[in-house]
Amino acid sequence: MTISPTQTSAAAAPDPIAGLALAIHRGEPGAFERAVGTFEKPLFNYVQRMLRNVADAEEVVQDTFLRAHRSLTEKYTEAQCSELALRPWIFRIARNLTSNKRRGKRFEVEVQLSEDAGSAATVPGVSIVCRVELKDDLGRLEEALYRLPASDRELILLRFMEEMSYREIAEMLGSSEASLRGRVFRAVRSLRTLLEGETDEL
Amino acid sequence: MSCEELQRDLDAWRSGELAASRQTEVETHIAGCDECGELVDGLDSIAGLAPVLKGEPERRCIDALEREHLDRYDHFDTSLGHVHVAFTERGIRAIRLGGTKDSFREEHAKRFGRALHCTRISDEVKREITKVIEEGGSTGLAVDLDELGEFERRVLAVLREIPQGEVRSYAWVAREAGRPGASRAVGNACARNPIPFVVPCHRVVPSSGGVGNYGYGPSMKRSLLGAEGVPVSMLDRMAAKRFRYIGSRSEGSYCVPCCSDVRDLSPDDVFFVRDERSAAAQGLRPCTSCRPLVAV
Repeated sequence: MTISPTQTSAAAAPDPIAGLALAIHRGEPGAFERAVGTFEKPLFNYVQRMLRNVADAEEVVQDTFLRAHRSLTEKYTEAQCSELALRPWIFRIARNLTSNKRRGKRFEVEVQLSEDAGSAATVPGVSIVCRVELKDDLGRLEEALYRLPASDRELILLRFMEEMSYREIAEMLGSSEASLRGRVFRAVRSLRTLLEGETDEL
Repeated sequence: MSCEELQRDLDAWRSGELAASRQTEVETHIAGCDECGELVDGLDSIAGLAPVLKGEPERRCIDALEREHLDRYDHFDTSLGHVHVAFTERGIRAIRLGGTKDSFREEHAKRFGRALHCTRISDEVKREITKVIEEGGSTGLAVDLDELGEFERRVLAVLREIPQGEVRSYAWVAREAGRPGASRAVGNACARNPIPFVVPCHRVVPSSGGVGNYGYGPSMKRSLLGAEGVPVSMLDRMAAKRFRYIGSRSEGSYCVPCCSDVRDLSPDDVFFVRDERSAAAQGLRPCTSCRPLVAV
């Protein structure tokens, strides 16, 4: 059992993206590219697992960056940019675009879900996970994740995959930290139930 | 403190996100409560599993964005003013001397339907652009004409072939671009040339002589041409006397003004020719270097 808290990078380390929004606003060379490099993987991982479709996820991530770029360079003032918490903000854009996409594709997604529920072969990144053990973990975890309601899945992804702090998630979702802790707790409990249920069957 | 009330804070405790007093409170409780300790283990195991979700997909989202939506942008000073440059991985898409970044961005979006993101242009390219703006001359810098119309592209390609120190008429460019007689369309293409200086639209002059118009004003055109070695005052004199060509007695040929072949001839050998019709009447053949217009 762990007694001393393990610090996540989000909570402890100095923010590597501090000032990036302002830098993009001011047109510092390479700032936007840096933002894209920093967020493309986390955003893709999140969106892809919400939509379960690689092509759609790629489109959403691209649109997210375009919107972010337009807002930072053309709409937001210098003061707004310097106060902006970039990560929750950009995730919120991705979240809105993701839900637009889901709405447009609900029927399609449900058909697909029922057809290949939990198939790890459709998930990018699997091929590079060489160790069989990890592959099993990934398959099991993904299986369980996709069986969770989307709202629970989202919380697990943001908290454990993206390692976002409660403050960031609260800002992104527009809820209070206290209620968020309760929701994450319940999502984790559901996930564990699913994972343990599976182990029992084996 | 009840376990239920505490359990929802366990995850925030793990990452040290609770207020200091609450952190201590939770820690004390866990030390003495097996149920809550197990929950922490559960959280640890999920957090331990989660990294496998991250995968390592190799993506270069910036490439896709640049392919479809975004051009690169940089700006810098020259002795003649501030320069804005839009470019892609293939080459320069647009250049403008003077004006603000915002207006350049707006025009770029309007014309090319693409946004600009700030990045660094290489010092070498910067030096080369500065040189062609301040001193004229030719450059081999790559250009990106992909977003232009077919005819505009052909016109710009022809402009790049006009040698430094020489000029050609709009009618000449029209013929070379495969649309003889389309001088006005060539004039429009030159006026809309998105890459002035690098694509030397300043080397195109009216058939009737003189230096004609220029986006940055006729005096800028004159000084660029002068710096490149074009005898501007001779062009003015020819225009005043309504001569379009220069003939050579020894060669039996005629050239556009300032064709490089003419420069090597002695002043006694050359004479002004009114137009291509007059050249034909005098039995002069068109020079093979500058390929002047031919009477039809």
